[in-house]
Amino acid sequence: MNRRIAIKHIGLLTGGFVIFPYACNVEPQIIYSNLPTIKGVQQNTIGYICNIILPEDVINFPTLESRQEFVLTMVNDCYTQSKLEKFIEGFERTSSQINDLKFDNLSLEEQISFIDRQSQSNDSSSFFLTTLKKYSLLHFESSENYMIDYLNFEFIPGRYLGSVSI
Amino acid sequence: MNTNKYDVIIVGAGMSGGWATKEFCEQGFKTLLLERGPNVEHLKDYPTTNMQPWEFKHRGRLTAKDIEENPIASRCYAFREDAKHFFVKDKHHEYGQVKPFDWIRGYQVGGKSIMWARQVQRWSKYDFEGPARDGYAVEWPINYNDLNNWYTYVEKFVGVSGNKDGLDILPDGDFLKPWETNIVEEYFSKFMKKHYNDRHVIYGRCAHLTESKPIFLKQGRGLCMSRNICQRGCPFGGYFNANSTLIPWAMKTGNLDLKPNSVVHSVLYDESKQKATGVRVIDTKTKESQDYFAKVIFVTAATLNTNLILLNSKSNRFPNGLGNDNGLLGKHIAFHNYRGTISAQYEGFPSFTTKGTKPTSQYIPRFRNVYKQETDFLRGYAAGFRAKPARETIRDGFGDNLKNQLLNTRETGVWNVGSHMMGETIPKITNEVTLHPEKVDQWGIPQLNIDVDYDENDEKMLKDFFEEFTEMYSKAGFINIKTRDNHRNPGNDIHEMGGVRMGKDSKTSLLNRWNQLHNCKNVFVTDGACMTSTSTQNPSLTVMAISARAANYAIQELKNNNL
Repeated sequence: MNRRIAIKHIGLLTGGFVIFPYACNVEPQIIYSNLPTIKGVQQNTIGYICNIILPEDVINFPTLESRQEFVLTMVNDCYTQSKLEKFIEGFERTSSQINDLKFDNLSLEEQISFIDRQSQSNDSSSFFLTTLKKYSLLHFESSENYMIDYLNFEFIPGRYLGSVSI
Repeated sequence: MNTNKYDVIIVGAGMSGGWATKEFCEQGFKTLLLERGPNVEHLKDYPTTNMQPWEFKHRGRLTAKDIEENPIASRCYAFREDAKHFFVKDKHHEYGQVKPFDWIRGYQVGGKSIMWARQVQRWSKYDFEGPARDGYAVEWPINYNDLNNWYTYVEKFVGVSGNKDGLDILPDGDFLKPWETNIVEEYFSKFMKKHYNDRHVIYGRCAHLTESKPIFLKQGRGLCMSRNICQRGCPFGGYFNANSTLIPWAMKTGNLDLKPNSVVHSVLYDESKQKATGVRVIDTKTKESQDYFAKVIFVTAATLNTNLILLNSKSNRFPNGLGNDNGLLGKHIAFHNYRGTISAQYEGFPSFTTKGTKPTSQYIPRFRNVYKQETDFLRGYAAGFRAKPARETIRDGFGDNLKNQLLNTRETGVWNVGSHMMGETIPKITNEVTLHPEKVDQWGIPQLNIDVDYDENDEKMLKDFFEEFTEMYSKAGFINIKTRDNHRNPGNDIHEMGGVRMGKDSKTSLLNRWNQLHNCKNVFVTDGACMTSTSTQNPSLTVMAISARAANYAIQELKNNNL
């Protein structure tokens, strides 16, 4: 069976929102105890949006976990109940908007423009997208290669030089 | 050892208890060291010490559950993903707060010496003379001359990195070489020397090995690699904690019986002998009770727990707690006022940066009311000073545009600078701890009820810190100066002291000049509880010196059959 049709059927069965990103990278579902309504397809949607916000670069900046997994872990584990509710509400609102727009048919520039507009709205979409951006940034900026090559991170410096010419 | 009789019992396997243990064991005394928490073996029990930042599931952040279950501990700067396992979990160790007090605890072998900030400064004669001169607290029964040699003794064993600064307000010690000072630290230090004759910006003395010496090799410790993640425990033994240094040293003698998971309920007192005979211990896992006996008992369970144990050690002779004839046990608790911070920027060295890290910054010794009373508040404050190159990373927009900005992160040439105050608080009779009238912990021991607060002296001192440092920063050419009262609760400084204060007179103090209870001479208290006043310095070096001194006195008394 066509993979996209299969995903659509799963989406309908779960009652969730489904989009068909043209660059869909389907990850296995993880159960997030504080995000019970955000299942496999929804998780992939979140991962997809994260990658539009800040492209994942697994070649140059590999990480131990995928962006999608990291962002959802952080939301699941670090958000209070009220923030979780706002995040879920924001996801549902954004998903609905994305479906209406036929998001995967838009160009990348149009997708970014949508995210930019929604990030500045006064509703839960903004919170949802701001969260994705916040944790996408954290994921990228804490990656090994970025920390070492761009932030001059040294795990065992062994010394301190206090006056180094730039 | 398979006995319940020892020469000495030491309660609490932290910094103070660790020192007493080392001294007794070295000199052949059979020692029982009791620790209410689990064992933490050096190297073996540092689970996060070699984890890279990207290996932490939450990149160092606390989860919502961590914060919800630990509302107090999570306010501590070191309670983070990499070291939270060394902190007591609030829900398992409740206590009463008459006023808000953050009681930060580390219940394990090593205690808080695993997570401490390693800052060490000697007291000066002005600090010991303070209470007598200014009429607060009671006169210390010891002075700097009594501790001078013990400071050296401790410094040589633990390893202290420092500069000889030649200041009478902060005596020099036996130091290993310092880390390099950065260009802005150097600038500010020179500036202050030029414009102020009573204010000094000096290297922050710290308990780190910057040189190798035979004693450290014998301890099995290597040089500090300046990773600055000490709160995890150090695989090199590069900073001092009891786990890497004191406990293994004592263990090697064959005279130590270490019993973790043993909470002390009370000190046992024999009224016919008029002395303490031992302690009652509750196994934290089985909740079974066991008594242990010794000629000498050192209660070094950390300030507030020491108070609790003594308050709970009731008898017909001492109905209000062991040694508490004068009713002062648990009173005159004091701490350090850490509420004030100041931050700014400096543009003077745009072509310079730093490489590597160091586990210390600069230190500004107290300059208020040192030689005489000069201000509308008593005593004064020390401060830290740090300077770090600022980095700019623009995070606007989305997509490749955002990514490119991240790849263009850069140091701006501007330096971020800042200071935090460390103010002496006045020990007041109204700042006290008592046994909770109703609540007990899971082992049936009364919970502690803490009634401690800031006062007007602290508020005036805070105001002075803001004014003086704003002036100094401004004169030094620092810009964007911002002061902040962080409103942290008492206790959040983790320097609570007092309750079992030393003094000359048994009517106004609990301990004599040798840290013996006036009214029960074979019980010693040498942790922060013994402090008559707090001064401004980080207390650890002083309690270690006091512990070593008192332990050696007790040893002589034992040898002379006086205890």
